[in-house]
Parts: sequence; C-alpha cells; structure tokens
Amino acid sequence: MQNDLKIPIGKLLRADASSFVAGCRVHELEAPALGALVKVKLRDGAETYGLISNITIQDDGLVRQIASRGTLSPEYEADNRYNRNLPVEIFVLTVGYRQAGKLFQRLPPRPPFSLDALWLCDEHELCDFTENPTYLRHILRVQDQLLEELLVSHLAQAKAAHEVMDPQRTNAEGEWYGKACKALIAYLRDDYELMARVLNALGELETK
Amino acid sequence: MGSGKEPSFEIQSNLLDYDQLVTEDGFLIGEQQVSLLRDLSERQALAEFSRGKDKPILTMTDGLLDIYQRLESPEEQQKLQQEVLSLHREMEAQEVITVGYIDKPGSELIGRLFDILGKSDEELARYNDKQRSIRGVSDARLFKNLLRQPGERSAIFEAFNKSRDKQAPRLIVHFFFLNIGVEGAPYLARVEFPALVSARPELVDLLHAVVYADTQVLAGHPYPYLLLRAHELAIINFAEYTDVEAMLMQKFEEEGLTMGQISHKQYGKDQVGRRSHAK
Repeated sequence: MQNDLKIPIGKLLRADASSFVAGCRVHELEAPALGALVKVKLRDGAETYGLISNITIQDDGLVRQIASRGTLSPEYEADNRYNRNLPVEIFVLTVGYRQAGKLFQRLPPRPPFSLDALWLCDEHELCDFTENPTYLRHILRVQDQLLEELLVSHLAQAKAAHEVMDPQRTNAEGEWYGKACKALIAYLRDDYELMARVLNALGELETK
Repeated sequence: MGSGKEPSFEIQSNLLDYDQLVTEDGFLIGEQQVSLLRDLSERQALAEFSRGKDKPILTMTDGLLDIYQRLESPEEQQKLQQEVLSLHREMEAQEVITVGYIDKPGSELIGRLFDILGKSDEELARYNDKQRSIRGVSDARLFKNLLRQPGERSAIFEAFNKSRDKQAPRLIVHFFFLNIGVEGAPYLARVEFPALVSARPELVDLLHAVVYADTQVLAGHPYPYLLLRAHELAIINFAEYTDVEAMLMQKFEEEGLTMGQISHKQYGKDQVGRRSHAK
C-alpha cells in the first residue's frame, strides 16, 4: 500500500444516516477499491468514516453504440472514459466517525452533506480506525449484495495494512486479523448459515 | 488521432452585448443573424487553434463549408464573405484541411449539372431552374446505386454558384459523396473541402480516410463522432439556461430594476394540463 492515497476521490451526491453515495470521475476512480476505508470531512471538523460497498458506472446511448463496435482507436475509448460526464457512483456504508479527536464506531449524529469531499484513508488511518473490530457489525447489516465478498475485500486491505504497520506483532500472533475473525464469529453466532459463508470466503485470506 | 490519449477540448462562450443584440430599428436580431455570428466565430476559432500546431490538421464543420446566409446589407454581406475567405486562406497556407460534413444531402446539384450539360450558351442565358427536366432526385439518391461499397467515394465536384463571378471572390468549395453505410445498405454523406485540397491527392486520401473512420465509431448510426461530441459539449441544457436566467434576475434585483410579471395569457397557458397532486 502507498502512503500518498490521502486524496479526494469524489464528492457527495446523497446521504442518509447509515450510508452515502459519492460521484466521481473515472480518473479519480483509479484509487478507490471495494472495501476501502474512506471518510468525509464535515464542516464542524468531525469526520465520518465508511467502507466502499459498491461502485457503479452508468452508461448512455452513446456508450452503448460505441460498445457495439469492434476494435476502436484508443482515443475514442479514452474520450468516453475520461472526458465525458458519465456518472461513476461510489456507495459507502457508514461505520463510524471521529469527533474532537476521538473515534466512535457507531453511526454519526447526522449524515454528511451533498458536495462534501470524499477522501481515501491511508494505511495509518486504516489501522487506527480498525484497531477495534467492533465496526464490523455495520458490514453485517448489508443486505443487497454479497456481504462476504465485501468483508473479504475489506479485511484483505486492513490485514495488509496492519502487517505493514506493525509487522512483528502481527506476524508473531496474527493478532489483529485473529481478533477481527473472533469478533465476526461472535456477531454471527446465531446465524450459522451466514457464518459458514463468511468463514468459507475468508479462507481465501488464510492461504495467501 | 494516433496519440492514444484522450482528446482535449476547449469551449468558447460569447454573451452578446445589447448593441449586438438589437438592430438599428430596435428589434431583436433573428435566428439567422445569431447563426451567422456563431459560424463566423467557429471559423475564427479553428484558424486560431491551427496557428503553430503540428500538421496535418483536419477540422470538421457540421454542414456547409462556406457561409451562405444572407445579410440585409450587401456591404456587410461582402465583409463577412471576405472575412470567411481570409480565414480559409490563412488555414490553407498552413495546410489545414477544413471539411464541411453534410449528413443527409438533399441537394440536387448533380441533377442540375446533367440538365445544363447539353445546353447551348443561348439556352443557358435564359435558363430557368424552376423548369429543370430532372427534378426531385437528390444527389444522394443518384449515387446510392453507384457507391455500393462501404467507404467508397464519388469523383470530386466543384460547387458552383451562378452568381459567383458577379460577387467578390469567395471560397471555392469542392466535394465528394461518401458511402458511410454498410454492405447492402449504403448511406451517403457529402464531404466538402477547399478547392486547393483537390490539387493534392494525398490530402484527399487523408481526409477521405479520416472522415470515414470517424463516422464508423457508432454502431448502427454512422455519423462523425467528432461532430456528435461537439454537439454534446456545445448544447445549452435546461439547467444551464435556468442558471443564466437566475443570475440575470438576481442582478436585476440587486440593481433595483423591475423584472415585470408573467402575462395573464402565459399564466393561462402554463395552467393548461396541470393537475393537482393533492388527494
């Protein structure tokens, strides 16, 4: 992971108490990934944190016509990708906030406002926020997509960040990742079917 | 083309001042005058952009290459034509290929050509276009059975205005018809360019290849991608229109000017078909 990813990746379009959606250009889309930790800086100094739960790229009639063609000069593809104003939407699941320098892993008092900037958090901030894995319970309320895939994407990034930031501690005991898995098992103790799906998906991280 | 990178674009907007918007008689200028100002600005922008740039450069204009709209004042008309000609000459000197693209040519230039071919000078002197023998057959229709292969073009013709010699010098336009359709379904467009280009076959080949390739980007409806994108960028959408109107109204208010009120007639029209959503 790089340290220079503390960059604005889009601006807020709409929000509610537990999620928000940001619009961005394709150029800006090169940085964020599914499961990445992002934040919105509010005007009162507070910061709302969330995980990217989905990214959608809209089309229009022109794109459909171009897509139906065979091989094209790269200029045409680049023009559509980078110049045209096609909305790319980043869906974010709210997982906590920071106020007066203190981190909270519950939903913020109010959602961010439209046109607030969305920032990608660097690995320092990712480790800082995820240190306590209780925020994982927010992911478990995701219903409209494959929850376990979001978990795998996020945990892969967080695990890598913890390994880079604190290698001795992590390598010796796998401390952070083990703690996160235990927290998930505790949250899912009454839902064996989902727990089995989640653990099965997380198996991919164990083999890497 | 050829860089592999996304193209850059530049939008020039020009808000007309009161003096340009109102005629000497106090009336608002018409759509034709606005089109003229826009077309002239387009040629000026193309000439300005081409200065000092690497060659080859090919520009594309939606519609006729020259400007044919008539102005009320002959002096102003001549001045306009001179300016257009001078811009084209400047671009020609820099080997810029200017192209006018006519998507659905309904003209009957070739029919006229056939009609006058066998006529004597005497007959030509009293020639009346309204009594032409071949009428109602467009150029595109005539060439549709000749240009069957996709990408095929016709010979090059010169657009000749019968009053051309009586006027001040103006742009001499050459053109060909180009089949941009697919096998079995030809679709002809007219491609115009300055006469000077015809003297350089390699430039004709270049513009032929570039224009054809650009029309083939969109599946099902061949049309120059460049023009489609220019239209997309240039069009003033409703949100932009209302933004400018709101800015003007705000300025009026700041200056203490009255904005007037909607007429009773307009109010009535606006209400027709409007339904209440209250339950």
